[in-house]
Amino acid sequence: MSNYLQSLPSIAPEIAMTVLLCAVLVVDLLLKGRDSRKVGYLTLGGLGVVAWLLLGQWGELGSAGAAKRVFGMIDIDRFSTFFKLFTVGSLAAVVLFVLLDRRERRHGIGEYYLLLLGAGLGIFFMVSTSNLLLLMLGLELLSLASYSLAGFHKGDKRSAEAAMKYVVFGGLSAGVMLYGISLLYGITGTIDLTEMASGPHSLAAQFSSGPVPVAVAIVLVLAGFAYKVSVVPFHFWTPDVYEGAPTPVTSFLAVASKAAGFAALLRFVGKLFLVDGADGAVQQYGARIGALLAILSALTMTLGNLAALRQSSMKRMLAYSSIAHAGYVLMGMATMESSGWNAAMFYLAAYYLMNLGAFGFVLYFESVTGSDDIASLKGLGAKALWVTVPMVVFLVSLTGLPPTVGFTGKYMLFVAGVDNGLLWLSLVMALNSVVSLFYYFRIVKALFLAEPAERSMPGQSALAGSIFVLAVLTVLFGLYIAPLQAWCDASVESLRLGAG
Amino acid sequence: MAETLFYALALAAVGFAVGVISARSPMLSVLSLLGAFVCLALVYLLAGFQFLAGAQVLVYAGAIMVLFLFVVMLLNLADLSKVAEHPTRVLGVHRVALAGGSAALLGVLALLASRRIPDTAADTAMLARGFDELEPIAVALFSRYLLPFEAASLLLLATMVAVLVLAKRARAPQGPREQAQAVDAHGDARGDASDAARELEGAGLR
Repeated sequence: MSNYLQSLPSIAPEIAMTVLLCAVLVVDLLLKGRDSRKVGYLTLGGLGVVAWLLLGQWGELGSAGAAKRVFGMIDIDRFSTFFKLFTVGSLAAVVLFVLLDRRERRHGIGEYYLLLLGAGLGIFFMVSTSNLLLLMLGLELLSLASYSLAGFHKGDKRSAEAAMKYVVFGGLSAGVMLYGISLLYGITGTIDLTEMASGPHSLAAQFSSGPVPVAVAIVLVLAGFAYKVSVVPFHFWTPDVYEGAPTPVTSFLAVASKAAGFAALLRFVGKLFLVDGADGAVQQYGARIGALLAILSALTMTLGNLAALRQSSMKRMLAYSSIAHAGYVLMGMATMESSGWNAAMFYLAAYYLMNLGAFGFVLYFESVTGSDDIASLKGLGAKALWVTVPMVVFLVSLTGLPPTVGFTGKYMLFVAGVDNGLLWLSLVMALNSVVSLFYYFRIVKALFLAEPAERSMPGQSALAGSIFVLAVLTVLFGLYIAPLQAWCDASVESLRLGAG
Repeated sequence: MAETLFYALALAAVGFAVGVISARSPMLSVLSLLGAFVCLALVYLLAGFQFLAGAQVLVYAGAIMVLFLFVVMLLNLADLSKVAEHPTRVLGVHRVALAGGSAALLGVLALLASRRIPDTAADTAMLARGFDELEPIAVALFSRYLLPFEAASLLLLATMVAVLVLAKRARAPQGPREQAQAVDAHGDARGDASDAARELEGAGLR
């Protein structure tokens, strides 16, 4: 028991999040829901504390260098701390979006913040555990909070439709994933990924005696992850949910929730197959999983980009674009080599920055024009340069052109693909980037190349400010990649070591 | 013997589950769910987990099913049968999908059964410890699995709030200041009050 008390400081960020969640609940009750902005400020302050704790943890990890495992199932390493930090960052951005948007404020009752925090806590568990039970609980916490957040605009039919579709698809895929996990447990007798990779009844041993059950189990679990990160055969929910959900929620789903799914997927595949000195059977299966991921990646990026070409709503377009980006990240994973995984993680970090910014832009314009239609942007470019110029930066980055973080990420993915015998996939990616240029620059065209509009732009200066900061970061990390690069190396290393 | 029993129970459980989603009367659907729960409890019993089986019957078949029945009784059954009519028109597709899915699932099961999954060390150790006494379960729950246990409680809390948010009707603004806010926030004169009224109407409660 004392053992557990000693490891409590290691999960201080999680505890702080839980306390904050309860505080939000109680304060909202005390205020009787009258002034929900106070709850929003409380949430922001609490998130600041969590970020401070996480930064402290990050520093400790740097000096001692030792990743550790507490409670027998939570891995405290740079990989998870990084994702937690970004989750807190995107949560803070979403809370800001809610606070600053006139229409959102009407719905911005205390539960909004509570559910956001619940979803964030689910992500905390998801990204840091190698125990499939806790992983599943974290995933469900995130999903259940997201379902109701998607349906938060109760009067709105599209919002209700989004929530309903999300619940049905989410429930089905959670069931499929649980079935896979229970098979894995039946085969190896453990729900811990490390033990699964190394124990006496490791997957490696089971591969040789009976490969079919193992393959079925792993494919089922991968299907669950594929749904969460909207990879192609499981992507159907994405455009509808992203379009119908309130825009701040959409940005949360597209950025934090998807990256968390990828973090968990990286850990799952990494622990099981990216092992140092793995024996032949594991490597052989790793290669097969890699081939599967490569095919999914090619399908995902192609379909996402082609479908995005035809969208007139910015939210739908960004939804398909996020599907395409999932394909790019998968491509890095498909190499099943450290260099490719480095690139995948770098790209995820880039994805955070540019998508958060792009959704901030959508929100800004939705509050001004009342719609997210690309046509409604016509001629507004010169009216609010503080927002439109950053948006151009995000679009350049999403396309993958220099000098942005998106370019660096895609370049690393391309090189990793060529180096690891996935030349065809690298070429598919390059072609897809060209396709994506067309639809991203439709927004630029609408903004700047149409007749200047007459109307004035009474936008939120604070929102514009945060969008501007994100744009600066997007360019900065594109030019100065050392810190992100160092983190990627450390993360891949901690995944590999943990498995050994 | 045990194996035959398992397959019979598993098949019955799947049959009941199909009944849950295909029955036209909500009552029948709830009763099918009860059947599925009982079958599952029997499977647990067969695997030697008496406590789990007991908990399954008490919690699911007991408490939760009563709640379901309450809800079904309180709702207007005539309305529900009207709702149920709609999917039957497209049931052709559904039926094919359902049959295909079930067939695929059964195929996988059969495939797995044909490849013998070896007994694992964990299983044997568990049985040797006497897994099914209450004490080891409690000890495991509050020591090794303390964190997932707490995570589950958070999950339930978030779910509870989520359900309340979705089920609660919009609160009518009370003070003049709030009313003004509501109007301001919405951009036109339609406030929360009329929304709430419309929702009430929609729910047939007015």
